[in-house]
Amino acid sequence: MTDTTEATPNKKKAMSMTAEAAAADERGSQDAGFVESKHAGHHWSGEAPMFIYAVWYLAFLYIPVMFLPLFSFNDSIYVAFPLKGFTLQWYGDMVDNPALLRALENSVKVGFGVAMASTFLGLFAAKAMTRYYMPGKGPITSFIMLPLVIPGIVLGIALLVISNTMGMDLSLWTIAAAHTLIGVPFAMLVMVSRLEGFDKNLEEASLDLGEGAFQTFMRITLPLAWPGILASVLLTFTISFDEFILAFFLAGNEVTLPIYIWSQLRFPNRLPMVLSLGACVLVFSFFIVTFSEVMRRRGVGPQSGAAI
Amino acid sequence: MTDQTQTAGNVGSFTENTSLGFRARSLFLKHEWLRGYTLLSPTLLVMICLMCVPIFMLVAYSFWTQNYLDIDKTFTFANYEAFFQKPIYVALMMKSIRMSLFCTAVTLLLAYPMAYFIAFKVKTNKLVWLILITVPFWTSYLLRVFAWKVILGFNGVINSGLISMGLLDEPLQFLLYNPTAVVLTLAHAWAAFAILPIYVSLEKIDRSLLEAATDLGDTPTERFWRVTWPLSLPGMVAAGLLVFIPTVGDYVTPRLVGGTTGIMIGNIVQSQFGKANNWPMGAALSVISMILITILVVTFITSTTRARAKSA
Amino acid sequence: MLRDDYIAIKNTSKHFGSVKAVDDITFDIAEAEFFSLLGASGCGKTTLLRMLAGFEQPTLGNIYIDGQPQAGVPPHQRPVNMVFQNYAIFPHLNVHKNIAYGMRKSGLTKAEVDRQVDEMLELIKLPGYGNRGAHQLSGGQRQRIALARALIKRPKVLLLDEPLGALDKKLREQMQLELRALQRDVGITFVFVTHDQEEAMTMSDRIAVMSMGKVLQIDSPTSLYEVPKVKEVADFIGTINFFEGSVKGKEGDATVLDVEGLGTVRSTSAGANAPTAGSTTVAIRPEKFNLTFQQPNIETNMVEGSIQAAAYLGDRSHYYVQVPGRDAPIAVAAQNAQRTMEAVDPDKHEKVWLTFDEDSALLLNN
Repeated sequence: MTDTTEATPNKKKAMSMTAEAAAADERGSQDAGFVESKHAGHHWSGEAPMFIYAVWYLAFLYIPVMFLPLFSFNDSIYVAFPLKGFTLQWYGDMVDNPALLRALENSVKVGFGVAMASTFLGLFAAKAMTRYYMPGKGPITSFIMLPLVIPGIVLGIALLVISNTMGMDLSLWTIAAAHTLIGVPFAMLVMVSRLEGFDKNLEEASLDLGEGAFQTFMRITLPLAWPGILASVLLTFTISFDEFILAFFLAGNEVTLPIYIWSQLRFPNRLPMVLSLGACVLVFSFFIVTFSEVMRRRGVGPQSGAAI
Repeated sequence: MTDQTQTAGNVGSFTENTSLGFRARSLFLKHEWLRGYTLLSPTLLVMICLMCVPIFMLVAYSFWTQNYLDIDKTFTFANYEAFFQKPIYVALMMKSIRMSLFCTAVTLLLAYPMAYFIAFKVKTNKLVWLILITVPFWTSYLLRVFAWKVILGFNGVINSGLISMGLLDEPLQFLLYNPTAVVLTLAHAWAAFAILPIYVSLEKIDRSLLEAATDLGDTPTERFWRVTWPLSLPGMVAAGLLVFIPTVGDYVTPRLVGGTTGIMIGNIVQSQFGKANNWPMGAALSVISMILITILVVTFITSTTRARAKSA
Repeated sequence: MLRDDYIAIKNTSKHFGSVKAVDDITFDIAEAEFFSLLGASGCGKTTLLRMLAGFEQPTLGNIYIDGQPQAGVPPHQRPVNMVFQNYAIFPHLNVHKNIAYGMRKSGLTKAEVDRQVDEMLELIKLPGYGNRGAHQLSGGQRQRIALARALIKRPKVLLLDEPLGALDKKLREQMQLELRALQRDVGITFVFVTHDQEEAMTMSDRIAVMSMGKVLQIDSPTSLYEVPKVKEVADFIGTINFFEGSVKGKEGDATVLDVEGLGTVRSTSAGANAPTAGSTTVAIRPEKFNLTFQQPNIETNMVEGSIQAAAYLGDRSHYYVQVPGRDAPIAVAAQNAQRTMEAVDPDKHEKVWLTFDEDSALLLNN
């Protein structure tokens, strides 16, 4: 790792210069296209360039990751064109791998715990944020959102340092704690928008009709917020399931799936198996997240218009 | 219907007005913020334990020194001095920030037209577009970076594809293991994070403002620069921060696609906690990174606010 | 025997930070009364209502309902129910379940609750609507269901927070009459919050006019209109002309004043706290003026002017009469009792005369 720092300053400078030039070029052309489309955007024919750009952008987002599933069926140990034959061998390798299955089990365990804890804490926080008049609401929101803008490496080593100081062994628990930290802000965001989506009066009406706080939560808040809760559970599960940066520092003997994948990248002959594993993870994440996004953004009905 | 008796739940109990429980309840009912903070307290407690305390400890570590297997807990600036004495650290820090700024700029410029398209041009199925944009962000970061390694590699998708099509005789060397590859990969990885804040700020713009600008004689281009663009700046600022800050500390992307020239400060920090085994030095490096990031962010925000104030 | 102090609000204040939303209010509401809180938005009427419901606790003072102090009693244990401004119909429950929502703790059998729900549906004229989803309802239907949902609890007090605001004008007028009839029918105390004075006057036994967290006046609709005690109330309820004047003396029952633009005015309508000397405000409603085109044969309570603008409104006409010695024109309303195809043309009638009765000129404190 440290040997990488030995590059000569000159060479580095040269490299970054070319990088800047290349990117500046890209930026320039991008800029021009952008202004042009803005010009044209107001005629009916102007829709086309923007639409083409949008499709191009989606391709940029999706195509790179598509190569993982594509080559996972390729009957060759090398990830290179031309494609050889179709094979399911790499998927077979996956299933017969006890270490992998163990990592998968760990990831699911951690993810489930993180999803529950984050959603629980996020729901409480969101309820407090949306339903109560509190001084200092803005700073507190920023505080809870802070883990999103602190570089992952800083959070990771900070948690590593504190575990070490407190004499705690690294385990799945330390990973889960770190993932909860980044899960809570997301869970709160999802729950806040959900709770803002229906009228505070509904909960007040329930109290007014004689139900206490707990019964109101069970009979009104929960049924109305459950798409948000479900979305939050799925989202935080996926975040934990796919998270690598924090887990890398905090894993003990038991590893999660991303760390297992990382450890396998050193072995070229395991590459196809990693591809098939990656493909499975991607497809799995994709479906869960899509479902959770649909849940999250689904409206609550005509009454939601009355909310702020 | 008045002849019916009152239901039990409707009559409060007034016999124990002086009990502690009653007084506590009165206090809760009277002060809304008290109820709010009570509800909020578990979350805040968890955040403090998992974020504030560890970061405080990290800062403390940066003032200690590594003594072979032990940590020498005497307060010292040695790690900070080492940072400024070794040009490699400073140069690497500056390079990391430069690359991150660069990657942020690229990401924002790519994202703006997309956000504009969804906010203004998509009439039906807006939800579908938003979901399509967001979903890749939630899928494994490691795998997305790994995909670029596969694509850009010496025997990777691009090289082998071009060769097998007969467009190339020898693999291109410059694709992988350089800063450009890092910027490209990061821009791809953070794309979705940049679009959403910009989209939200564009979506919030009152459409009648645009009509008013046209009505007052602006051409579409003038209208964009005089109304849409200034109003979308807060979204650009937010998006910029959301991309810039995490990328400065990234070590996965440089490690996988950066090669020797593409390494960033995150890799050095990580190695201090790994092979180099100098935790206090790693802590000091990350504290310096955080301070630098904070300075840059504050400067950036104040300058954009000032610029907006000036134009307004 | 009905209590006069069924609801007793005693020295009640509610502060939000430094804002005094409700500022030291004391008054009683009688049993089975239809009582309205009237005022512009931000006057504190909704805060007061929410304190009755228990959603807000008074910062100072206490509220008693049927003799019981309500401090420290949470909303769900109070003998009051509320109809919310936007009705707060639970979107995930059907009509039947919405109405039966508060009956869970009533101790009644399911069959009995079902029977009562059906009864309520009859009462609100929506029989057979039990299985409708919350999304399939019109604004008027939601309003009725919110009412039924609260009334089935047989509260001591029903609170209504601008419940007709979301309805169109025709429906609103119809609902006003229905609501008033329903209140008489069930005999429950209604506390009704509104910013619409016409609505308050149509339905209420008594109205409290509020402004800036204070109650300005509590009276029957007639008294509020005819004998406002302060300038703000006179101004808020209906249209009124204010004149600056000074008291010259008393002649029997009447106070004689010198009024800007009106000359010498005799008034028998001095309020209890009207001044007997010095400067005062004289208030006259537009319809209390009598407009003629011939000079009347009287000396006082008469003024000559010219029509500056006229508006024909069908049942009545509005005139703006400019008089010497006053900048603002006087607003005058006249019933169009005779059929006429011809609106009054300001240009044709250069001179008009306004007269008014001695008891139409209200004296108000400055």
